[in-house]
Amino acid sequence: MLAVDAWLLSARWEGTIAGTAAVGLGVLAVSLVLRFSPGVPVGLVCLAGSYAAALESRGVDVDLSTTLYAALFFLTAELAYWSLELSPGVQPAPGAAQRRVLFLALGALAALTLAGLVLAAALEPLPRNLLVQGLGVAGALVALGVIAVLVRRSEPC
Amino acid sequence: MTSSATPKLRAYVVLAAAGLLAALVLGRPELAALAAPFAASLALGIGLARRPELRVRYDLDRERALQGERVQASIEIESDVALQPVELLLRLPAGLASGSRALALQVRAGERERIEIPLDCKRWGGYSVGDFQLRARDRFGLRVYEQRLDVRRPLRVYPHEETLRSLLAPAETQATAGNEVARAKGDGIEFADIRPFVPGDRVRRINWRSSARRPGLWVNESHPERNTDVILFLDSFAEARHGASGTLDLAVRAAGALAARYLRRSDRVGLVSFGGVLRWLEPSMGSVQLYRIVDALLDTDIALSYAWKGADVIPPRTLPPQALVIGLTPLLDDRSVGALLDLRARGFDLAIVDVSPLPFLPPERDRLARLARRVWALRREVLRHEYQQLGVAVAEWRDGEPLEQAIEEVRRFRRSARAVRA
Repeated sequence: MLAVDAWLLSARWEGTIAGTAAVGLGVLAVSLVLRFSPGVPVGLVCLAGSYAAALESRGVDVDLSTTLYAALFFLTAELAYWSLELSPGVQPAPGAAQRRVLFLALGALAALTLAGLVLAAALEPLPRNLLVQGLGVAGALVALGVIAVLVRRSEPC
Repeated sequence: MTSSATPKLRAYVVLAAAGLLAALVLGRPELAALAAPFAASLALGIGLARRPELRVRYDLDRERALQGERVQASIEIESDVALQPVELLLRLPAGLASGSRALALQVRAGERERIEIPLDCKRWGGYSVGDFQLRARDRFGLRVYEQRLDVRRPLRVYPHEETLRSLLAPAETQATAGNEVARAKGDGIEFADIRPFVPGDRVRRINWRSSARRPGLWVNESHPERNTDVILFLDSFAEARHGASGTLDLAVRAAGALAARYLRRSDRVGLVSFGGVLRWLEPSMGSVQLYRIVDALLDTDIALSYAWKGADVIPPRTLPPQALVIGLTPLLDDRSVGALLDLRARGFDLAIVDVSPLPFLPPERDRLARLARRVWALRREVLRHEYQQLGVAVAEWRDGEPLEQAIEEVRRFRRSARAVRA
């Protein structure tokens, strides 16, 4: 669905976009079948890359349908890792699947809301000067830094 | 409890970073919207993650079971934080089996979760069960916590007891009272003979009918009831095995049954486990000795050894004079074959139950293998014949046949051998 959406959205470079999306899907599918976890982010990055290329090809300001795409993209990632977490031969806990489905539904809803908020913020008319651009870059870098610090803190003690 | 990052955490970091950087470079807020859920998931997951403190209780519903029975292992897990399904991997020793060795259970914060694992006792032996590997993930699946739990409990699985109605009578009895009618004459119940009266004989022993027909007084003689010393000689040098059963299993089963039956009739029973590791129990009587023997049997295993061992390594007190030695052996190792011949040469009353390895051998695939098998079987036949020529009864016992049959065969040989000797 994500791959088709990227292909339908594209105004130029359809072949490249469809190819990237297909490669992403293929890598994701093979990684899940072979239970090869490093392949999952590669597949997801390819899918997101095809979507980014499709957005770039259209050249519209802000595509609001991205909120739905973001929720589906997050859901795809969660489902992929859920399937990898299920160890073969382990007898599952009773009711675990229902709880997980609920958790995924809530996560997708939260992703939809969060992506909507980000796009809503992006639609706000702001003066396009160097200060605002700098603030945006700083904000992104701070966000990445916070993630890096948290990840580093959670390394094995 | 060790903690490590899951592949999901690394992937989400990559996706969030790539999305935000691409949004900056391309100037597309949509890419930031794509990355935002991953960044938020990371921030929430790592921010809320706490190392769980797990308390585990583990128990078996009983410590003793018979081969083929099922034992329930129960595990209770309590955690101070909610965990996604805790995966529980139970490392079982060979001989025990469970339908599912790995289980998952949902653990809520502060609540105690209980799980039952049925363990099938496939083989006799002394086990210690309770080596677990626990693996839990946090709520967002970003961190994995692993812990090895060693909360072992002993479990002793006893072999099936063979039914025995008759036992081998030893050639000689001991001095103390028992249930075996001695060949010697003395005070007892079983009538043996009559003889002329001598001063000191009790009046109640006079046989008046015989005395009426003969000159002088005649008294009854009887056989006294005495106990016997029985040594179970278990060959643990080598075994033939196919799947879950082998010759050692049969030998242990037979040893257990013989020990129980001889001890029940007030005989003294000892055990010599003759193999890579020499184990012995001096002869004794009573139910305590039965427990000792069964426990010693459960610890019996094939220990590979190239060292030559003869009967001289067996402590002399383990082999009392006039004891009946019952060898339980597959006759596969020259050391045990030689030791048994040595015991016979030293004058011990020896009987051998040849626990046949034939049912445990793989099928012959070609003519050469069939020929080799025949030669090998003939050599075994020759060996049995050598024993029989020395007056040692050897009976073959195969898996599936009653032990009673082999014991009866030994009895028959011993009866005829005695008749020939007489």
